[in-house]
Amino acid sequence: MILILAVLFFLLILLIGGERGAMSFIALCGNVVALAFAVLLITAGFPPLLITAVLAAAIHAITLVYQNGRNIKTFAAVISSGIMTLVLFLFVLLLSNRMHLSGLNEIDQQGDFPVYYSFHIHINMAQVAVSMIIIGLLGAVMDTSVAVASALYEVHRHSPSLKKKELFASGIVIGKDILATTLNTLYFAYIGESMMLLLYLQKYHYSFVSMMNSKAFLQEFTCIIVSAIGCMLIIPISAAVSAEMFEKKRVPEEQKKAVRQKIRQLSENLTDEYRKQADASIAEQLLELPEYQAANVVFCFASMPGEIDTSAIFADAFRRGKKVGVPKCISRGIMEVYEIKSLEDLEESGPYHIREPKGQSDGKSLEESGLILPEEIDFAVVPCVSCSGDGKRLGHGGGYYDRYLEKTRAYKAAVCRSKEMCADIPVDEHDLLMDVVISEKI
Amino acid sequence: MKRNREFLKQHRWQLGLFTVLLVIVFFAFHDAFLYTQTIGKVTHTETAISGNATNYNTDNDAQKETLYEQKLTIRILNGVHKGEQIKVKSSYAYSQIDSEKYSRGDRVFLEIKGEKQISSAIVNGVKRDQYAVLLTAALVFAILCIAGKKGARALVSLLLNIGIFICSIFLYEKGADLLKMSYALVGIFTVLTVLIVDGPNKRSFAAIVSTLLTTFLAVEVFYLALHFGGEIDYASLDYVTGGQDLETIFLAGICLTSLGAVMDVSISIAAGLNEVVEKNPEVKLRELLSSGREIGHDITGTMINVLFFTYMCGLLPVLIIKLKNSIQLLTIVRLQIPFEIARFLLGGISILLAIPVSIVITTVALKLRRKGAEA
Repeated sequence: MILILAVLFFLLILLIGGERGAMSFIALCGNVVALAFAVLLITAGFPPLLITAVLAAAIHAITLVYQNGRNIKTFAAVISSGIMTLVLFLFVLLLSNRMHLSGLNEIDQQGDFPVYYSFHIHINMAQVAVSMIIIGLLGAVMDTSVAVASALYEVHRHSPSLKKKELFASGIVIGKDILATTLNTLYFAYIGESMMLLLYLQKYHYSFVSMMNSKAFLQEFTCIIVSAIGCMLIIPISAAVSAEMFEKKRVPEEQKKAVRQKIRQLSENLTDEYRKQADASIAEQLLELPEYQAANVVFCFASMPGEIDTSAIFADAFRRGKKVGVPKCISRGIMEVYEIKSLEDLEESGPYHIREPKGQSDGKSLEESGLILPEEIDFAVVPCVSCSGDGKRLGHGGGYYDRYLEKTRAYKAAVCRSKEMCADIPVDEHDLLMDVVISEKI
Repeated sequence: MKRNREFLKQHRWQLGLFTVLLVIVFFAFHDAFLYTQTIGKVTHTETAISGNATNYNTDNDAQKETLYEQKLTIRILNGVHKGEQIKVKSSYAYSQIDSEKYSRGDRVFLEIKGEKQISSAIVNGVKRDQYAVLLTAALVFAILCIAGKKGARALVSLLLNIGIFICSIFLYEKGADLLKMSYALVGIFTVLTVLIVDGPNKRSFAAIVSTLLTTFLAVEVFYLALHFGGEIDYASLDYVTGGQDLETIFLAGICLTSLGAVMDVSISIAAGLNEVVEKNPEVKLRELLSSGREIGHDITGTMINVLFFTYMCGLLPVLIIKLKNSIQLLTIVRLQIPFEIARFLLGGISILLAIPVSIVITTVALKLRRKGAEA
């Protein structure tokens, strides 16, 4: 029966979860092995508290770092969850000795345990009780801390200018939203687990008072309450740690501003003649790229004054019958891509006076409106303020392209005149690397 | 000074709450007068080694542990002997599996012999209720301080659920059919919790339907596995009292156990997809499905771990005792804890099933609504 369930679980996780499901499964197996290993070590006589601390660290690495990848979100979650676990560790250490939760409870002591098993095993079961509570809360605390950290990261990405205080406040708001469901998950998980115990207590007419004093009930009760307290306290901790770390990450923004300023001054001094020549050479090289020629759906920006002239690229793409998409600002930091059949389909609009596809979305179906989904794009021509030869790109600072292109599998070609290139482009976490940077041949 | 006053003003209700909870906890630490059993407080301990004991279930001769004897001075806190000091002997073993090591400040139940004068007394259990109150107070304070009104709502929903659960245990004792009752419980819990968390709207409707459907599917999976995989030995279930239909109890436990997690998945997917449709009413079906999958992925990985650690932590003491009694880890896993494993696997399966189920249900609900709006 277990085997059938296990196979079914495995199949479902692969079927529904795909690649990431497989990763979750591996992480779960890792946790099982880590837990089994810890139990064996404790049995071999190593101090339970020390083993628990090591186990907690290992579980963090497996569950958070392996499953979510090495990035700033994960590290924020690991740090906050680590702090929380440590604090609760001390709290439980104080409490559990006072509460006398060690070893077997009254009910187990009456069963067949004392008949078959020797209780003189030379292991400090008071410490094992602490381990038990700590292991029980790990899952829930990690879950909440990841939820807060990654949601806060999204907030930070969409509005990078937010200060530490504001980030913290919105972390708390996020925490409030998930708190109710987290509490419920815990509550039901423990209810299902302790139902047999509760029925037992009921059957033997334990009074409320004797239940509240019994080891059997309080072992379960302490586990659930301490987990819940952990889930609550992790919210401000995770919000604070994430806010602190994300704001630190913001420093490159200042450097980016400086580089942007420098390049803009540079480009003002460029002659029209140089620009024309450079743009023509860039377009020519781009059209020769095999990735471009193989592409069915091409994404290209409509150039503003001062930017590289893309009209030659558009002309070629129309001639070859490729599907051509142009970006349109939807809201702050968010853009969508719409198909155009000719440059006539563009009109100047939006806060930046960029040429964009004419108002499509009103009242038309998807096919009519010509929305192109990010996954459809094969090849993207990306504008920049400046680029480095190895593919680091500096945009205008709105984050539109970084956010959009992250969702595509497209081959990303940035175009940049050689006099506007810069060897040292400051980048942070969410800047995408370009696949190729094209500048004119000299 | 001024700063202090401002701080007080700003955090008035938090301070009020703190004071109230503090009073309650203080009361719980001094509630001995409410008990009819005699309660004492350990004021002094003297501990001495009294001997050795061996683990008879191992070949290893070095497996000895020390036994201790304690002389406790206890002040009686209630009853006719209130205020009297007595001396009591108690013993414990290093492992503390079935014996307790007492320390100063512990409150214990006493069994006293002798009419007017105490002739003999033994310690008969630890008084723990004050810590239960302390923990609960700490949790309430944390919830309310961090989440304010939303926290209060979550607390109310939790209290309601606990109340209903207690009622149902009483009903069970009166002879209600456990299986029917747990199905009813699942229904009531789901509707109540989702409505309180999310309010009455189309999202919650979709979440409720998907939760119920998923739970139903999980039960079918259980029966299927039972049908093809054969019975499990219910005798190794914990706290068996005899005269119970163990299969039903186990099933009821499964329904309830993953309910919270399934609801979490359903609510997240329903809310997420609703958001997508609201932002872009013309969104394609294909994209809606992939959004749903994305949301599902984000939560299941950690959710399965939550269940895993919640279930497995309780096994720790028993596992260690058995291992130390020369039983192999594999034997224990195979024969002695199949329930915890089956319960965890079924919980995981429910969470996974909840993803496609709630995607389909939410999509259908959103489409239907749109058609209704067009007509």
